[in-house]
Amino acid sequence: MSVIAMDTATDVLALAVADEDGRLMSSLVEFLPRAHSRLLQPSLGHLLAGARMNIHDVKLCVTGVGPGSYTGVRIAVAAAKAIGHACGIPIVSVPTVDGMAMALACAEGQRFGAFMALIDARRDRAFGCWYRLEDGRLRAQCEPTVQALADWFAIADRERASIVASGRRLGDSAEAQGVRVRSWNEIAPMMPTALVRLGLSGSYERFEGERVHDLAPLYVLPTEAEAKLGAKGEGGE
Amino acid sequence: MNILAIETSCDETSAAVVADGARVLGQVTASQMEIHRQFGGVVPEVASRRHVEAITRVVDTALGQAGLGFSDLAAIAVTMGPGLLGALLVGVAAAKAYSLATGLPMIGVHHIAGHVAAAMLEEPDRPAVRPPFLCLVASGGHTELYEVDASFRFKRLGGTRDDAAGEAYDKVARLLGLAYPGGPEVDRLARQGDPARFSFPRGLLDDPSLDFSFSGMKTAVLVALDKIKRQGQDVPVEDVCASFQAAVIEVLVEKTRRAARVTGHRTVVVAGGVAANRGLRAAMRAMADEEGLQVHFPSPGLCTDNAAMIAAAAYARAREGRFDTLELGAYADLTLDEWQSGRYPAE
Ligand SMILES: [Zn+2]
Repeated sequence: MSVIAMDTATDVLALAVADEDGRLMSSLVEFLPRAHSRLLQPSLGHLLAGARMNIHDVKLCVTGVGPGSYTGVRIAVAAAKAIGHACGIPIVSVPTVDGMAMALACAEGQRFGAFMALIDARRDRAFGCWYRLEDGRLRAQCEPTVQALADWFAIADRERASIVASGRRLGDSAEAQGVRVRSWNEIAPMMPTALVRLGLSGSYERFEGERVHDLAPLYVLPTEAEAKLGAKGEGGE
Repeated sequence: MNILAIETSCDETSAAVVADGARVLGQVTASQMEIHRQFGGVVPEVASRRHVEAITRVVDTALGQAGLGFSDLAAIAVTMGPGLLGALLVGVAAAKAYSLATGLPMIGVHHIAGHVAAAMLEEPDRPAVRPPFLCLVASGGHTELYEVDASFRFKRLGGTRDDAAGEAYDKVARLLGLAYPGGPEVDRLARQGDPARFSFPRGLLDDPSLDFSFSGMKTAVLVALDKIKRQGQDVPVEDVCASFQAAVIEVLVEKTRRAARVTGHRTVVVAGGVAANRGLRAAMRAMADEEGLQVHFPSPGLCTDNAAMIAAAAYARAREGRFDTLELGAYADLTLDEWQSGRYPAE
């Protein structure tokens, strides 16, 4: 039996083929923004071949479900749903920020501690979440949300959390404020390992059988159009 | 040969299984019409979100209707462009993953080739058309005349220089404050109005080319409405619709007549969303009778975006053994020439 894992919600495409104990058999991390759509399926094919595996040996599909780039996140989710459907295997959905935080912990070789994962949301805000790692188990300490960078940094300072941040601007702001963050591009090589570990941890929602069709990406916000419509409705127009 | 096709270029999430490019064994289209009606048009991000929610369920239901499994299929086809990029990417990502998971070959299909291929599907009251034929494609995004040869290759004879016919319908519907989508509403109201009440310009009608222009018609409607309102009169909505529709139809019909005379084709296919327009159907039939032509319209349900038409277009490629790789991309802009040659544009 083997496990595949994928995430396309950031500028990084992360893919893994692992055995049932979560040991990587082959993996790939690419920094080719906007090329995820082109590369995901052929790369997965190459990884399976490299691990001397057939797609029919795969018994579980782990996918990052964002939030992240709107278009990007849908590429892995649509692909995972199709693979789950055609192969009749379950899908485990892992929030991309959880994967980022776990990748940071792996990169730092930690089994305990506080970790924070942030994705640039423009205008000095970031989407993110912070976690405690307890004997290798990741526990979110808040709902993933968007808030001001200053607020995230205040939490990190209070909790002595290590931070991984996606987005160059975010890294620059952190540096200007004297906050140490690890860049996502530098940590991302651990994402395949992190996705597989989290996917096999039993802590995430599993979509199986008919439920494969229900899997959907996580979004930070409703679309602008829907938000406006909602506001209108509440205004009693 | 059974082909499973997926179409997500705009606001319909559609999957179909078609046998030999002609017989629709199963088709499901999850329409987002009601959602986008609230916004007065298609919102790309909303459309993409709905596609990813619905994508595998429509495939599962289409296969269920056909009574087939993945092992009964010969290929997987998907619309690769043109269309809304985010929307196309959902269909392409799913189709490529189905291909990887099943080992079935992939076929990327041009959306307009699909609209044309809709005429090649068998329907209860209409024989399937086989190329070669002359084809008018008229939709919200396109107004073009093509020659289609026996191996389903396209040669463009002319097309719109500005707005598409369907786009002009939607813009005029908006000027008149009609509900979205406006095209069918204009068609309905036109039947109750006087087509001679207003004389709107027939763009490029006297031009010897096979090109179209619809932006002038829309402007003329705007000017006429302003005048009526300045005079404090009520807008005769039905008459405006009838007069506008008469202008659009005359140009579409006369350019098609000219194309048939120039090329010598005796079979004409009218495809795309505007081909569902009743006024256009009647006028085309009358012209075809005068000229001794055979004219074919897919049924209205197959004129709008659907996956069966994509499977029909893919069949011609599958027969020639022309397949795409798992690197297949999605393209917001893609010409028929680029698609036919396999020289897809750089992203
Ligand atoms: Zn269309």
